[in-house]
Amino acid sequence: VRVAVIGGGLAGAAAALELAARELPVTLVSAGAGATALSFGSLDVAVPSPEGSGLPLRDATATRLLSPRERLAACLRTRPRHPYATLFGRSGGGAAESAASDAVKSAAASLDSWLVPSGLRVEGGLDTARLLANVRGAVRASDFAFTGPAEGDLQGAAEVEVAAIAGLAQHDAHPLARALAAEFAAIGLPRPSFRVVPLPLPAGFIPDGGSPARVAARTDTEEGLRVLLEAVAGRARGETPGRRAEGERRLLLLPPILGFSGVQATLARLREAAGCRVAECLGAPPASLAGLRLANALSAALLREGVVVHRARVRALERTGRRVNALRLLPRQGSSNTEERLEADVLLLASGRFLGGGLVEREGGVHEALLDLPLYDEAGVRVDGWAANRLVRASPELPQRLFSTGVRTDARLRPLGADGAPLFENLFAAGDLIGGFDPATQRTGLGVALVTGLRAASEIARLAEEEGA
Amino acid sequence: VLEETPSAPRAELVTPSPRIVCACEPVTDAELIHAALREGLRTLTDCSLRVRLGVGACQGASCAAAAAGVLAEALGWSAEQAAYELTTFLAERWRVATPALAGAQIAALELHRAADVGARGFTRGDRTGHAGEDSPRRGASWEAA
Repeated sequence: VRVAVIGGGLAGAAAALELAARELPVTLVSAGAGATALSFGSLDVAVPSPEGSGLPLRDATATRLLSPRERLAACLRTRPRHPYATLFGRSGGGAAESAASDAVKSAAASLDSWLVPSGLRVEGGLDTARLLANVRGAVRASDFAFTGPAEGDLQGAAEVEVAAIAGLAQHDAHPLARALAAEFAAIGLPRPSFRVVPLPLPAGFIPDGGSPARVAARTDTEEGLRVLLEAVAGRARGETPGRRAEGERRLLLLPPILGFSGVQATLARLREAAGCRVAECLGAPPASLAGLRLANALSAALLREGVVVHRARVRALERTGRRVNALRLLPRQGSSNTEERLEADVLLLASGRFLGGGLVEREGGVHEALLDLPLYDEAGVRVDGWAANRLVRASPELPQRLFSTGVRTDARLRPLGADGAPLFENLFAAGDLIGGFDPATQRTGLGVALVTGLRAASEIARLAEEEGA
Repeated sequence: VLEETPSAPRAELVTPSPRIVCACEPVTDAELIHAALREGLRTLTDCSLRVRLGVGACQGASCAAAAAGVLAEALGWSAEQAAYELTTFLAERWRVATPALAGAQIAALELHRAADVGARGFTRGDRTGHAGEDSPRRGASWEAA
């Protein structure tokens, strides 16, 4: 059974890696890592959001913060068209909730095992949220996060040093520290003390213009890292010794500059130099060092596990009746081939939404790009063919139908037609292409990609077994 | 017509190595600081009118937050005011972008929404906020006790 996966983001990569682990021959067709490469350091299975349509931060009596597990349960209960509800049961209930949390935990463990060789770990869990700072000074109550930002839990830190780096763009330590302090007041938790600490970096280390990406590239070199280590070790020299929190109770918060690779080893050396915990801030789209690290680590894992990867765009799919038979690929740039054709017995669509190219606008309407599958918004209204501007509202924080739209699937992740039955025998969908939720406000983004990608892989393995028998 | 006050030499206003805040319509932090302290610029929307901040390809998705940081530092905004200025500015960019949506503009708007709504915290914006005595312009050793 030949499996083709379309989409090189987290959903497609996780599915391909899982299929390879089950020894099914799999080809991944990827034009890039899509929205995954723009992700900012947390995995976000069920993260609270300040928007009304998002998941709650607190319980009903507002006395305490909800745990990630409770928020996952709230997502199942209150979002009937969310992919989690499709997979684990709409009514919620104990069985659905434990199925969902088991799936999340095992998915995070699988991803962790694929990323470890690239020095990237998936940290966290469903029992307690980590309060992580992003580059703008917003606090995110994350459940899972990647090495770099994951070490920056602001809870449990008595003192947070916000590093000030002269000349670095997109980073202003004082407003960042003020914003973080205000976030703790807004959340209603006792806050650590925030202190701005200048890092004494030599002239010339920060390039003209202050590009954080160029600083990250410098940190990737041994010499660049040595300069950063010296600055971190020497940051408090000349300060009057006072009563300072030590070790685990102190956190040095850096902007996202810790290199494109090997971040685990870099952090270990920085911790030693700093004498306390060290972490990066979460990024904020579209600037995303963490997203590039994740995309690189996924590419490395695909190569290592023997997944065939075609760097190409899909032009069209060949189909007969209720089966998809082959993919027609656009020729790669510089290639003399006219068009490549790839036969497949099973196809997984993990092509994302507009950023990934899974959804497109043509002839004045919104459509699924390859099969024109029916699209549904969060309320379950069919919207393919609608003009995009009919699906947006005046203010960005309002629910936006355009960005909760995608295909609808059954619990086996087969895309459904208007009659509620699967449209194809051998087609599955995963990741953001599945609609019914808004990643920006509901903050279940990469969690959905990972969980649906792995579930699609097991459904495909089951189908392969049935067809082989 | 705005005039520079002769008593404050311009060199004081300009950082030694300007940082690029907006790459679409090249704007440096030095320009923003100068415009804020000498030309009466008060909001991010003023920035777009005066130095074209955020009116290029990304419509503020890449630069608005960084510019808010620079202005917060220069003008002593509180966290609440910085949040207010940022959301107000991005809401205006959203309003301008949404009536005519086609092709790649939809993907750009999807990214814009992730950069705005997807990265917000829990602090409520308030336009009257001021960092007050703790303003970093008045003392570099600001500390949130």
